[in-house]
Amino acid sequence: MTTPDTVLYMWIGYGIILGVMGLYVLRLWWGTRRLRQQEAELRRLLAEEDPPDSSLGTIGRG
Amino acid sequence: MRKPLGLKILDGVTLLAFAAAAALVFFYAPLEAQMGAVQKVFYFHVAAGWTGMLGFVVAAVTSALYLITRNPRWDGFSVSGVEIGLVFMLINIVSGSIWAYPTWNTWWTWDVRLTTATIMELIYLAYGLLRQGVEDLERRRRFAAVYALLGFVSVPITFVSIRLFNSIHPVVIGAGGEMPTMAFTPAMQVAFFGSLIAFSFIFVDLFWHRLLLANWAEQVDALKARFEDVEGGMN
Repeated sequence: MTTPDTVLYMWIGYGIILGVMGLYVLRLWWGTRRLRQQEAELRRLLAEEDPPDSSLGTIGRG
Repeated sequence: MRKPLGLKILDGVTLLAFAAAAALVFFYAPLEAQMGAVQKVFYFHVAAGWTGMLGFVVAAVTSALYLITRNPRWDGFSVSGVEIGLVFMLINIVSGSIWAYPTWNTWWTWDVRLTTATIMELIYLAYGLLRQGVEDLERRRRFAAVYALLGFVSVPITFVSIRLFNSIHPVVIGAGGEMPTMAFTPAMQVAFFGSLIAFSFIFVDLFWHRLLLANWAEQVDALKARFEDVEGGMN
């Protein structure tokens, strides 16, 4: 095995290590984004269906 | 939901620790005489294995706490631990295979360490499937906690396997007796422990992020349930 070969495998190894870690960070970011959108949508729908002066006006807040 | 200041600081510290570990690996640790550059994969390969097992340990401890207290908070800890454990054990197994090819002349061999690590990964993969298969929330949490505790048996078995059975996988931590061991120069030791510390920071940071996500998901689920109540009441 020559040195250039081992250099190639080193870069493949680190590419996969960083790639998988990057994908997981992306999954967390994507999950955060999706939840933010869902929460905003639910709050908007609740505000529409549940006027502020009703007893359910503060649901889910805080 | 806002990110706590502590987590923002931890993000920065983790990035610095990771950059420092990478610098130690690439610029400080010497090239290994026999294996050449591919040996540098070893530093993050072991650190990923350490992080993966840390995730499974956290999952086992918090599963036990859930079964004792029935506090759903511990279930969130357990899910987060398993998820991060799975990601990092996957990194460990795949990077090990890449390291193995130029070193052992094969991508894969059913060596005791490789086999036990793969079984461990599959056991924890099934944890996720189990959770998806149980509808009732309380039952899901209870079953998952019991499963995480039983599955944890695979973790110490994987760790000690190369010390108990004949294996071509080198022993890294502690004396290996007659088994193959890694010979470190002092600079290699610095890079090795630097990587372990950096990955420990990565674990805590990702774990905190994942916990926040789990808590937030619960709040959104509660909002959904309230919305369905309101909608049901109006119909």
